[in-house]
Order: sequence, then structure tokens, then C-alpha cells
Amino acid sequence: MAKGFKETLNAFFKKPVTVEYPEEFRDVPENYRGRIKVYMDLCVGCTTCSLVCPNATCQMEAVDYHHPKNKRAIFPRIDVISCMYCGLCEEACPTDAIRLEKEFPVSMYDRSLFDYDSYEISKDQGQVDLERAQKGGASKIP
Amino acid sequence: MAFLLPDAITNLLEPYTGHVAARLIAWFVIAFLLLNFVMAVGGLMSYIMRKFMARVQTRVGPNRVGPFGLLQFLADGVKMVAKEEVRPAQADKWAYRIAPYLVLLPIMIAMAPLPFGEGVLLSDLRFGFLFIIAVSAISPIGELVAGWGSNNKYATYGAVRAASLDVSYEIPMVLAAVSVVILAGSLSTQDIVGHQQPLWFVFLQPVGAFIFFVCALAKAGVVPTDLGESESELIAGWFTEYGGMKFGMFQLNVFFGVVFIAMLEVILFFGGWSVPFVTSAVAFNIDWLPLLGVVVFLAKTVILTSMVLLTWFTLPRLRPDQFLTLGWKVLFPLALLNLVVTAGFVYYLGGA
Amino acid sequence: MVTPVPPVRAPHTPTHGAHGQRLVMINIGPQHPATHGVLRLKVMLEGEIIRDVEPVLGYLHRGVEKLFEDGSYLQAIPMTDRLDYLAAMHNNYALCHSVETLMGVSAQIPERAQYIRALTTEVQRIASHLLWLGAFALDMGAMTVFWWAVRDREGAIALLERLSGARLTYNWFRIGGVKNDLPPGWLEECSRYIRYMRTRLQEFDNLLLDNDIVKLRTVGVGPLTKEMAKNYGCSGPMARGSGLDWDLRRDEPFNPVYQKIKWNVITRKEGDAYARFMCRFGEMTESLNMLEQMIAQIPSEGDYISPEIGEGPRQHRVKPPAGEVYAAVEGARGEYGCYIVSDGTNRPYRFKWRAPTLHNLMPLNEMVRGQKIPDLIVGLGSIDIVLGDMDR
Repeated sequence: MAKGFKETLNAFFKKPVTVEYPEEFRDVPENYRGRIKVYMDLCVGCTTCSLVCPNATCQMEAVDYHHPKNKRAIFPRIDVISCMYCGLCEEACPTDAIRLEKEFPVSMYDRSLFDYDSYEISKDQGQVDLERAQKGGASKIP
Repeated sequence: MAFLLPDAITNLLEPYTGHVAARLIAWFVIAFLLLNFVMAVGGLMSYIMRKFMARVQTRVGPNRVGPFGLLQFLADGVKMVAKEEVRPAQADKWAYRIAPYLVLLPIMIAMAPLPFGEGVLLSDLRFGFLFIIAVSAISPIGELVAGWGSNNKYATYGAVRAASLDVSYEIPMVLAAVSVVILAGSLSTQDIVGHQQPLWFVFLQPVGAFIFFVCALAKAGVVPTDLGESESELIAGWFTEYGGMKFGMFQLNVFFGVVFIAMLEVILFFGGWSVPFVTSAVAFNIDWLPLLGVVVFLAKTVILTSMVLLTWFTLPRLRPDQFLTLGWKVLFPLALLNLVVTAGFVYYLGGA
Repeated sequence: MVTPVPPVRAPHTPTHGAHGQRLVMINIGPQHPATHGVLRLKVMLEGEIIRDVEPVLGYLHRGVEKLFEDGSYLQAIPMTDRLDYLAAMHNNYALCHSVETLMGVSAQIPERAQYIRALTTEVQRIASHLLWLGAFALDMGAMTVFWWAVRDREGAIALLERLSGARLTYNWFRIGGVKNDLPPGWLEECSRYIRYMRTRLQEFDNLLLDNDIVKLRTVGVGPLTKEMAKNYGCSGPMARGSGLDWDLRRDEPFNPVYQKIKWNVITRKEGDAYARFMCRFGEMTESLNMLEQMIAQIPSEGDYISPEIGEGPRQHRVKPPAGEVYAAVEGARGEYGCYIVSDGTNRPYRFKWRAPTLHNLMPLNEMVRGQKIPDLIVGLGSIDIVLGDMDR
């Protein structure tokens, strides 16, 4: 039993391992599955992501944004808290338009605010917060 | 030359208000100071315990509220006072309400004869030590009342365990301490410390010191002996149904209990306020010698408290029946033997 | 007027003790610090002695087996993560192994993929056992060990995070291999973690294994005889702690790598909580040894997934032939098995998950009868249950 005391006493003098969030951040690896983001300029509207999504979170939406690659002008929209961050859509996308970025802090006051449309899902979280606060909603440009 | 606060206050006020009123006011002031002291120390101890626990577990502990998290215990206190205290509808109203006081007040009252320095104590009772033991034995009653009055099976189980434990471990503790009393020849806490000038009692009574330490852990409600409050088994044991400040009072009891048992152990075995190699007979500066004594006493208490805390965070909990077996079959005979041997030595060596 | 409903009790539950007194029914309720999830135990007590324990399950039932029928096998993989969420890689492996057995392509899995799978499985086993160790010590009151175990688990989780991008729900195994190759530097990090863990295990050894109090709390608690273990279908360290020498890695090999390295199956004869504790502790050390050998033997060139089946969205169109299969892997808690009935399309017709935790929990009643409440908590902790797995 005395050996146990030696261990705890030793641990008392070691440096704490706590990462003091939010002042310090832990390094996340490159392929970290954080917040989901759609690059609208790369999306061709093939709907593979919404087919492969396990809980049907990723749905396609027709919006008024045209670029030559995406003839049908449909883009994915995702409810950020319904998404289970499995990464199947990222794996399935042929043009690397939908990605899970390294960003992870996303917080809102109400659940319904998480239901992002195609424009919001194409912006970083900071930008979404800013635009919602300033303009009352995300701007219609990605 | 004893510095007794009640007498000092009485003497101060007597010319203005007469003897009886001065005495009453003195008692009131003493009670107020004692209450605040115990609350403050209990709260501070909760902070120290959390920091200590965090360091042992290689984490940081409270560090947001105030510099180094020092105001954490105040924040906790404010939160507890502001909380709604939900009393179970079928709980015994008076038992539920009175239990926290039954548990906390004895330990506050038992602080009175503890000497912080030479002559620095609240009341110089001739039977100070007996007073401490008798008064702190009221706590198990409070635990039983709390558990029973909560109308909750978990609480009742916890209360029965805690009370049986407290009562069983009183006996070896008192026996170990009585050996010290025999060596000192007096029940007064001042005299017990005074007799430790050349040699602390821990060297004369190592077994007694160890037994006292283990039994005192049981009284304080600390793992490996916190069976009343076995957190992972009975949620919170006998104070499951308490919320808000009543819960706060039970927690204060635990935290202050840690300091209290450390102080008791220091006084009984580690020389109280006596500095090694400096006795009160050496009159090189009588004015600040009591103050030095207080500082030394507090330093020793800190060391002893650290030992209690280290034990708290290292060892797992014992099962109640194993614990009672330890108390009755191991510690009690050992303490008894210790007492008999001590008494024998004192009889033969101390002169018949 | 509502008529009062009498409490429901199983027919064999004793309601009166030996001397005719009524037994106290206590709920070690769904919310409790020690039940590792939402499990309700109805305990009939005579004083402090337990006369009967009846587990009430289903508080975490999510209908996962029905959800699987909605999507393809690829879409089922992230859902298996959430079954036994503390050892998610093992769940993924069970599903992929079953589908590969049904398709008959187990031989086509490239060698490097097999090594990567084995490496990941063992790292996950260490992580799962570490968390179990922390929770077990916490149940006994030693809070320090929990924090140390979680800190060490961070190392294993970081390794798996570098592979897959997530810390708990990896979604990494694919049919025929794994999702991506090992990132550069992963093997060196793994070796560093092994060295670190060896010193850490020594520290846990000092703190827990020789501790008299731990021995007092666990020796003789929750005895499970070999016959009982066999009858109830226990597996994993629970069965091996009772002397049942059964390990799927050796006896029904699902990965040829385990035949190529030298390792031991840890068994104990006593069958009490201490034996299971020692089993899991020994398994952690064995896993470290296995990892070292695998790192030395892994081929540096090779595919990480079978090229015939393909990766990415081609997995979504995997169509196993019509038929049924049951296949299992040895995971942290025992035998994780999948019973799949396929109708030839890319969606399972019926997917049944054999939860090891459910089979392991069932002998609880016989194990703790006659012992006390703290023994129940310690016994339950030594079974190592995860509610996501049990209730599905």
C-alpha cells in the first residue's frame, strides 16, 4: 500500500496535463472531422452526398446561384446538429466540394438555428455568426 | 500568562456595561467569531482540497474564479444559498431541518479548548480533552436524524452505516488518546501540549498516533472510510435529499472535520505549538513567543492535513463490514494493549 | 378512479427473507454514478445482504437493428460505431468481417490491410480497458486512478484520431480493408506510446494491484464458475477470468496476423472480480507486446483495401449474395458478432447484433446473491458493461 502513496506523491509534483480551453487549443490532425462545409464553386450537383448520408441529413436544395459546372443549380444543405460527422459524404464527393473542416466550436442558443441552408453551410462558422448578427441572416453569396 | 479572549473582552467592557452584560456580550462575540472561523476555514479547506486533489490527479483544479481560483469557495457558498431547497414531501419536517445543525455545531463547539499557541485558546477548561470527545460524539446522532428524516432508502442505508462507523471508531480513538492523557497526567489540552516540551508524544506512542490517525479519518468522513457518503454506491448517502445550504453545511462538516482532526492529532501527538529545541522556559522574548507558537501550530496542521488529503486520494473505499471488522478486531485490541502498556510504564517509571 | 397497480415482479423474485421478514426493494436506479450508463437494477435486500438482483434494460434502446435495414452496408458502418461506443473499432470490424465472410472475400484482403486492422484493434483494446480500469477504481472510491487512466487513454485516442479524424466514433473500417492508409509517422508515434504505456502500467500496478484494500474489495466478489460462464454464453475477459480458455483471435481466427505473432491468452481460474481485473490488466500488457511485434512485421508496401471491392462510394454498392451469415470478432468486452440475412441487394434484410455485454450481464443475479451492496457495485464494474451495446 505504501507504493501507492509514493505514486500519488510523485503525481502531485508533476505538471498538470490540462489544456486550458479556450485560451489554449489542442492540435487537431489534418483529417479531423469537424464542422461540415460545402464549397459551392466546386459542387456539381451530383447528389451522391445526399444518397450516402446515413441519417438523411444532407439534402439537396435548389438555390439561385449559378456556375457553369452545376447545371441544375442544386446544392447540399445540412442541419449541423443532425449531421453525425461520419465523413461518408466527404469520401463520396467526386469533386472534393463537401469537406469536414478542422473547425469545431459551433454553438447557438436555439436548436432551430442550426438548420443551415446552402449558403450558410458554405461559410465558416465565424462568418455565419457575423452575418446573422449584422444582417439578420446569411448573405446570398457563398 | 494566558490570553483568554472572553476575559479580555469582559475586562474591556466592564467599566461601561457592568459585569453580567459584559460577560454576555463577550460570549456573543466569541460565538460569532467561532462560527465565522469554522465556516471560513471549512470553505477555504474545500478550495485547498480541490486544488490538492487536482494536482494529485495531474490536473489544474479551480483557477477561474479570482486569482488562482481562490474565490471559488465563496462562489460555491453564494450558489448554495441561492438554491431552492427541495424537501421531500414525506420527510419528517423537524428532523430534516434540524439535522444539519446537529452535525455541524458539535464540531464548532469542540473547537473551544483547542490551544493555538501557549495560552491562545478560547476557554481553559480543566477537562478540555474530555469536552472535545464528548461534544464531537453528538455528530453521529445528527447523521442518523438526517438519514431517517429524509424518507429515502439510500439515505437510511448511508445513515446507518455512517453512524455505526462513527460510534465504532470513537472507542479506539479515545483509547489511543487516553494513553496520551496518562502520559501527560491531565485532561486539559494546555497541559497535554505543555508536557510535550522535550519530546513529542508521537515518539513515545507511535502505535497510538497511527491508531488515532485512522480513527480520526473515520470521524471526518474521508475515503477510505466515507461509507456514509459512498459516492459511487449510494449517490450521497445520508445527505442525498439535502440541497442548497443544508448540503453546504454537511460539506463544511466534512472539510472542517479534516482540519479538526489534523489539529487534534497535532495537539495530542505532535507537540501542538511547541517548537523543537525551544521551550517556554527560555525567556528570550516572551511577547511574541505565543505568536510563534501559533505559526508553528498552523504549520504542523498544514502538514497533517496534507497527509489526510493524500490518504483520501490514494486509497479506495473499504466495505462497511470489512471496515467494522478492522475497527473492532484490530484497532480496538491494539489500542487497549497500547493503553495498558502505557499505564504500566507510567506506573513503574513515574514513581508509584 | 385509477386502480393502483401492484409492483411487477418476476415470478421467482423472493419477497420474504429466511425469517419471514419482508425484503427491502431498492432501485440502483437508471441514473446512478456507478451503473456505467442507464441501467436499472432492482435489488431485494435483507439488511445489507442481497437476495435478488433483477436488471431492467432498455433505457438506451434506439432500434439500431431496424435502422440498419434503411441503408446500405456502408451507411451501417457509422451506426455500428454508436453501439459499443467505447470500443468503436471493434464494432466496425465485426460488421465488416461478417459482410466479407458472406461475400467470401476474406482471402482477398491485402496483407497490409490485415496488419493495419490488427494494429488498430489492439490500440482500441488498450483504450477501452484503460477506461474500464478508471471506472472500476472510481466505483471503489479511488478517484485518482480514473483521471490517470483517462489521461493515458488520450494517447491511444490521439493515435486513432490521426488515422480516422474522430476520437470516439471512427467509422474507419471498410468492407475489404480500411478507409485510408496509415499516415506518415504513425508507426513511430505508436512505438512511443507503447514505451510510455509500459511505465504507466507499472505505476497502475503499484497503486492498485498490490493494494490490500483493493484485494479486500475484489477477491471473492461476484464468483462466476466455469459452468455458469459457459451456460450464459459469456465471452471475453469475463469468461477467461473464470477459466474458460476461449479467445476468438486464436480459436476462430478472423485475422491471420494473430497467427503470425507470439502472444498469450490470459486466463484465471478463480472467477471473482479480482480475476477479471487481472485478466484485463494482463490483456493490456499483452496488447502492448502484440503491437510491438506487429509494428516490426507490417509490410511497408501494400494496399489498404481490397482493390476488387474498391473504396469510397463503391462500398455503397456492395451487394453480398443472398444468404445468411454469423461471424464474430474478439473485442474488448467479448465476442462481438453480427448475424446478417442478405437478399442480394445492397441493403441488409435483417441485421442482428450479438451484444457481448448483454450475455455477460445475465449471470449478475447468481453472482452477487448473498453478498452486499458494495459487492454488487464492484461486481457490476468488473463485468464491464456499456449500455449502448446492451440495449442497442
